[in-house]
Amino acid sequence: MKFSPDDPKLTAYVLGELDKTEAAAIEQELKNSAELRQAVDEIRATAEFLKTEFATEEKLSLSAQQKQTIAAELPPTNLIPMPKRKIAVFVSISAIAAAVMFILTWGFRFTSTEPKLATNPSPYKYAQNAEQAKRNELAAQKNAEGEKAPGPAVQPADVHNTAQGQEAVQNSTKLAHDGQLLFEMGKLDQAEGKLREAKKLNADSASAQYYLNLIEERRFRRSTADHELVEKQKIVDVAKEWNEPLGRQTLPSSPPLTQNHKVIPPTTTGNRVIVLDETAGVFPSTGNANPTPSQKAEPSLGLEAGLNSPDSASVAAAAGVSVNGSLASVLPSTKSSDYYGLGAGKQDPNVATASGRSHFGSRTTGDLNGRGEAERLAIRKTGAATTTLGSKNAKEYAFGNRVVQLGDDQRGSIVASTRGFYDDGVEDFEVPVAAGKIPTRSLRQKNYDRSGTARYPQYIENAFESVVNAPLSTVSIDVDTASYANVRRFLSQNQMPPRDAVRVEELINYFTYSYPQPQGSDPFSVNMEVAGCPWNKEHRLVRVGLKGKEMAQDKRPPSNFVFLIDVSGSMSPSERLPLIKQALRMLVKKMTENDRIGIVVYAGNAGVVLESTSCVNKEKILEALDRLEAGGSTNGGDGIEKAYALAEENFIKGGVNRVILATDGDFNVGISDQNALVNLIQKKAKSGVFLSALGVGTDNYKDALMQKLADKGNGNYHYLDTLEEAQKVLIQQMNGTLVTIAKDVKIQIEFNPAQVQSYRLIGYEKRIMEAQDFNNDKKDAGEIGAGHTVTALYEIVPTGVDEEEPRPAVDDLKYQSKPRRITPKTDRREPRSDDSNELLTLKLRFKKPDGDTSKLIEFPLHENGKKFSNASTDFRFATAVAGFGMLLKDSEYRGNIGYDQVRELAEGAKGDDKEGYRSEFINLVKKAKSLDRNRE
Amino acid sequence: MNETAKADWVRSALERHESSLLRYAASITGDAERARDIVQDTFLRMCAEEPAALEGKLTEWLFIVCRNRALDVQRKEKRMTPLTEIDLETRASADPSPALAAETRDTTANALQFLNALPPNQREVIRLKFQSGLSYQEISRVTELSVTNVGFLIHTGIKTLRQKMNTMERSAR
Repeated sequence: MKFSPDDPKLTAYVLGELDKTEAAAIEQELKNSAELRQAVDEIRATAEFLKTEFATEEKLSLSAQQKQTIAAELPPTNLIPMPKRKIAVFVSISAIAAAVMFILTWGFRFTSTEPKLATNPSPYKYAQNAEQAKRNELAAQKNAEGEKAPGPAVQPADVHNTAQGQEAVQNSTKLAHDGQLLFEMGKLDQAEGKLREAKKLNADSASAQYYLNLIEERRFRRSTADHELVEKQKIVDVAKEWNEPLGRQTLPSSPPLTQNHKVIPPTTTGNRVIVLDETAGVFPSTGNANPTPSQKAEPSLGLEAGLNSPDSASVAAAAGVSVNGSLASVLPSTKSSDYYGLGAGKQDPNVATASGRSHFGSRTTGDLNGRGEAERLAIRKTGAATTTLGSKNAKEYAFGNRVVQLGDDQRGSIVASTRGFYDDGVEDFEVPVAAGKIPTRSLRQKNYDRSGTARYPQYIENAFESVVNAPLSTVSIDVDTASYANVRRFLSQNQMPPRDAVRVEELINYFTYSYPQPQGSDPFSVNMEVAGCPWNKEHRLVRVGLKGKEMAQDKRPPSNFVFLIDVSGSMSPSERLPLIKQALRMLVKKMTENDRIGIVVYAGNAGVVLESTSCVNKEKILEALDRLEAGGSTNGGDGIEKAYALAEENFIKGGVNRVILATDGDFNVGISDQNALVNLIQKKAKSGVFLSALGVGTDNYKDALMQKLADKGNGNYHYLDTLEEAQKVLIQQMNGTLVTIAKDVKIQIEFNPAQVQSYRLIGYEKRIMEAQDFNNDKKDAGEIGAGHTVTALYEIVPTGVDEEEPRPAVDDLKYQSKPRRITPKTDRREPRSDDSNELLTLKLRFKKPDGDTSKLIEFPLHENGKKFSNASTDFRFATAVAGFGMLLKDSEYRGNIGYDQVRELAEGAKGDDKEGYRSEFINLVKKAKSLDRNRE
Repeated sequence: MNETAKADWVRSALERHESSLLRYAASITGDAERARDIVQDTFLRMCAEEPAALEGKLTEWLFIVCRNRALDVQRKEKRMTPLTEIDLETRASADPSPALAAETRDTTANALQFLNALPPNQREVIRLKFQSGLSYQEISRVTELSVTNVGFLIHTGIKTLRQKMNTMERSAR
């Protein structure tokens, strides 16, 4: 017989486990084969080695007290039975080893499964003596029999009073005892045999019955375990079969007509612009519609469907849409009867806004004044074609790629829309608007990156606002940094990032600035600086910086974290789930015994992988993390529910409670409708549990959704492209990311019209709020973590600078005088006499993390005429980053800045740069310049 | 046997098997303290038995009782929520816990470290064989696996250890 060197029999041979014949056979083989001999030698060597290693292993031992406990159980020299104890086992006390007394004890803590046999009272009158007598009797009997296997216990003799009966009982006991031993040895069948015999002899044998039950139980357990295993395996096999051909799950790529610019940030001060894309908004018109170049019929716009007027074609587009896609200004007509007063506008009646909601491809009805505020719809002609209106009761207007019917009851419905892939289910679209320079270039659609299914929210850059018309700038604070990491990822792959992926405020906020720590009781300090503007000599820059109170790593309050991890199939590449696992491992290692961690995963379903476990058991948590593997589709909604439930169950009052969501955002099962997901998160946020969203992934990365979830979920959002980034976000800035020190933080800046003509907020498009939202505590805003810095840059045009007054979107009324714009809360109609050279006043509202009412603090800023070159390092660096952002977005506000200038600025403002992030930024600038040869 | 003989019986068993039982229990539960409780229980149970009944199979019996008790304790301590399909898709890895694996990587190699890196079932039988000197038969009865299975596990475990040690030696040179 041929043996391979890998045959386990060889090991058995070495260890002396084979019988004679087999051993002989092997020895025969060994003679012939050097290979086998070597294998045997190695096995022997390893075996010896192991033996010695075990011998040298440190010996463990029981504690002295434990040994004492054992000693106490051993037979003492007297014959008095041991007093009953909870853990007592009655041991044979007689001199006869064979006589053992079994007593059933309930509280016997060891033998939860193996109690001893029962004693029943002996038939003798005087128990103690009787037992003694009995024992003696038995002893005598035993002695007579000689040393043998365990003797019988005192058995229920009341049943079998005959001598024969008694013997049967004794035998039965003996058998039962044998059965017990066999059971313990695992020989269930043999044990059962003995026990049944025992029962036969003595039907009352409680112990036999007991062990029979145990045997059944164990058999049952085994069979269910086997069964479970088989079933599980079956399901795994099926799942494998199913998943393999599908490969990685990706959404279908968007249909070719999705060239729409959507709009709009969710709230507005009224100066928003609608963007039309080049192909949409071109509605055929009849009759007097005139020759706008937009004569192309666009059947793809689906106008025919849903329009019930015969001259549906006459629903002219917002007149004046030109092929270039520049602004369709739908402007108010001068005739008041053409106003569709949907209600008096709270704002300047010259402001025309309308907003609504739409869903992909469907008709929706809704108040056009979406948010319960009456808004005025105003139409005006640009001087080109007039609109003609369709049906009798309703007026139809086209905005961008939607056609809206407005009824007299002031409700509107969207009757048609282009087929397109909407970024997020919820959109507000606006008819353009009032004052402010209406940029055209930046809104033109360019060669956006449409590859893959990555989706970025599309925001329109803030325009310059006139202080007279819009003196208040209200912004919600934001500390997300995802855009910078994303941009970095693109550039490192030698690609220019899509313009929409660049959010300038996130670029600026990626870096830490050395603002001074807050003094006093407020959780953060406010630092403002004003200096010159490098890309426009006449303008100035105002930098607002908030610094959250630092928290030493060990001062973090007791924390309750739930990791909510996407383990769907799309997460399997190494920069997704494995990166997340590593990142979370690093985080777990930093936890202390005051912290708790639970893990919920979601794929096709969601499940709790680890109940909230104290971080004393780090190994357990790490083990659970380690076991995660990717596979399946993505049902995020279910996961979110479970994670928040787990977090709420283990809520630590006064501590940190947070769900850490890690995903690529590619939800495609369950609540995959983004609205519903966002609403769910919004509801959950009320529970007081915060959220951190960690994004990973590339081509199907849903930046828009992630950012929204973090926003609505009272949280922050970071993109992890590398482990270093994970380290920065989770470890170095752990307290910033995880410990919220203030929530719903908003700022409102009032500019002084005596000093400032107009201003522009750089970035934060997604965070603009209405003026009246500032004092409204119900409005959700951003959260600040411990040690976080938040920076906002305003570019201002001082008074006296001769700038072309931007053409207002709405002409002055001919028959009515233009009322001053009234802002709520401040009744100011006239500018106050200016006694100082205050540029602006900053007001800030924030709430404690568990609070509901906000606190207000106020700071003025004075002009000091500082030159840019004299500004602080942080100021200059932040400016450089802002310039870079504008370049990447090809912003029309970038003035005359270029990559070289940005680089010089950054190099001059590098400062200490201990962690090297600023140097990394400079490299990115160089990279971007080389990639972007289209621009200067 | 008289009582002193029984006491001697227990005590000598204690001396002989205490450490290996403790190591064995610790390798099942992962916790030395719990292991001590388990072994204490084992010996207390032994006190209730007759030496003659366990003659010839004492070691085996001790390990069986110890193992059962350890598994009972393990079962009580487990707090995992049973999952549905998620469970299947996140199947348990046979690798040692990351902490152990890290430990293995970090510290200089030691055969016992390598041992801990083996899968739990191999670890168990190797300990039983080489630390406590049980035969294949006895191991089979303790672990409720077949003799062939036991042989295979030991063989594979030894092979893995040998390979690891060879790599260690090679890298040390």
